[in-house]
Amino acid sequence: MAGDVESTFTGSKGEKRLKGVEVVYPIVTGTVAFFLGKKATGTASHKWTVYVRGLKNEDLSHVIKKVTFYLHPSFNNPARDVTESPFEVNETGWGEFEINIKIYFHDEAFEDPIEILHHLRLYADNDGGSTAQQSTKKPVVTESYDELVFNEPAEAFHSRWRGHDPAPAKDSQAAPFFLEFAPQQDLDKINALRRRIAQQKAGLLQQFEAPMS
Amino acid sequence: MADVKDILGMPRASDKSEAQPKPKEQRAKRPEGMSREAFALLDGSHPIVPSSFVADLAKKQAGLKEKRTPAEKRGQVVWEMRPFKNEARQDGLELRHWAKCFKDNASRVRLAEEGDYPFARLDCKPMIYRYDDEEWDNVIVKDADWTREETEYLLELCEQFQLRFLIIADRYEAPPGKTRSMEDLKARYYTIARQLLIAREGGPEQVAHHTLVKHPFNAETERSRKRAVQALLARSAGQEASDQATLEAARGIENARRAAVVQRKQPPTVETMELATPVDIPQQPAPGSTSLLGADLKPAQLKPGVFSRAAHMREVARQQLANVPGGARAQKQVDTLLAELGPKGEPICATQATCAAYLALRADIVQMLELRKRLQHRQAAEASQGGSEGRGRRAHKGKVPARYDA
Repeated sequence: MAGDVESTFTGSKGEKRLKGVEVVYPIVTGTVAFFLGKKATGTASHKWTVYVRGLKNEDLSHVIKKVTFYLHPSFNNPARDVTESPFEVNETGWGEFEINIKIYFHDEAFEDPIEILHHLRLYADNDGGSTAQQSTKKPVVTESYDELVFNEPAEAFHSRWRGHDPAPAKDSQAAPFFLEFAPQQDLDKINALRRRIAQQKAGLLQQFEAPMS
Repeated sequence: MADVKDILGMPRASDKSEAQPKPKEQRAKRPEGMSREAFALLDGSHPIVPSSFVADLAKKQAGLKEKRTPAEKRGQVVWEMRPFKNEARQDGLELRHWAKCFKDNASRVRLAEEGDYPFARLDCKPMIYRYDDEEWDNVIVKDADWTREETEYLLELCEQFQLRFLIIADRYEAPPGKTRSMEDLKARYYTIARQLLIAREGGPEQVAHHTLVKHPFNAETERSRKRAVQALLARSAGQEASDQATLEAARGIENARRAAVVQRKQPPTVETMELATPVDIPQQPAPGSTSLLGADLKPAQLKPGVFSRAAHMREVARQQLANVPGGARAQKQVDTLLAELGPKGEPICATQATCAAYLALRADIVQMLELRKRLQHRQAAEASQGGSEGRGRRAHKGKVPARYDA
């Protein structure tokens, strides 16, 4: 695409945007939670990390200016700004809740921040109660794969991005526990269910056409 | 038995020796090949053996030998040239043929088969419809093309040649200035026959199933049929080959169509099931649209900006259900069905393909639920219709007419 003459237009903030161009950037949001075992106290049974990372754990600084993690209001200073890679927050706590993750892009992108909800999970079996089976060695990892879809991005942002080869992200404590994603598995599951639904539908249609007794 | 005979005034069988030999005679008549036990069954109450049964048994046992009278009795077979008459003929023509005869010991020769000429009875004459003066005046619809004289001439020939129209048309001498084809002759004769038949039976309803009325002769059809046959016969070899090829192709198409119908009738299995809502994911979205899908499963038109694909997918999924009546219930049913995708009931990886498939899946589910609902409605309606009819009739007995009369 380099060297193509791309038509531009002026966006609402006076920026130059590329007509008919779409850039998709996959990101992963996640939490890794360790049980503290003997060290657990009433208010801090788990040590956890919430993060935003690249799919291949690459540095996201060229896209993201700042990430704000909105924790539960019971935390001190619940809105945590992270302006440098790795974009993560380490905390201790005892309860699960929804973390609102707000991602800000660089100024030249002229984009509004985007919000992603992530559920902090501390207990593997999700019953929230027993701590008997919990291990201090094996963390509970929850990750969601998402894609940032830049529709008709700003020209300056796009050109800087195109020339950039992202470096690996700076070391994160949670890095050894990052998950691999298999979109094909998801797709297979969905299509299997679709076939079943289609068959049910065909059965209903047959009943419909059959003369009623 | 004797008492009954007394009452009926019949002579009592006084002599026992008379009664005795009769059963013996019957027993002696047991046909060859019939088992004694079977015959015993017939003997008492049904002394008469069905003749066909006996004949069959006799045939089986002895073949034709038994039926024949022995040679000494019937005499020696000789063949003689003999004159004979065919009773079917009126002219009394006498012809000669070789006939089988028997010569007995006294050298008297007699015919093996006596009586009428056996083939005479095969001479069946068709019934020719003829009219009398009154019928001509009242029944026959006049045809300007046919005079009475010519019509009678035609009927004469019909009778003479027994409706063999090939011969009639060949012998027919049309009045000067006219040509009569076989179809003309047939049409004229069968028209008259039909008119007479209807008049004699008293109306077309009485003879509606008679061939003359049910399938009236149509000269034009017959002419076009003959033209078609003529054309068929006049084809060249090349034309015939090309016609055959066309027919072969048509047969192929017909077979394929039939096979397709059969295949459609077979309920598809889960594996071969077509996806209800096809989604093709464009690799490169068209200018002005995005790889994000709208509620109609088409690339959405969005303002410039950045979007989270997962969040967008959830939003579209919400919109899909917003238009469905009974939203909350439908939502619950959809969620139940989606539960097997995972705890959240949605794909883990929000890629372009999975999001598209997921939204299509939801659309499928909504369609299926809608269909199920309509089917249930219909069944319920039919059930209540059947029930209320019966109740209604009883409840309104007598009341409804009064109200409507008033």
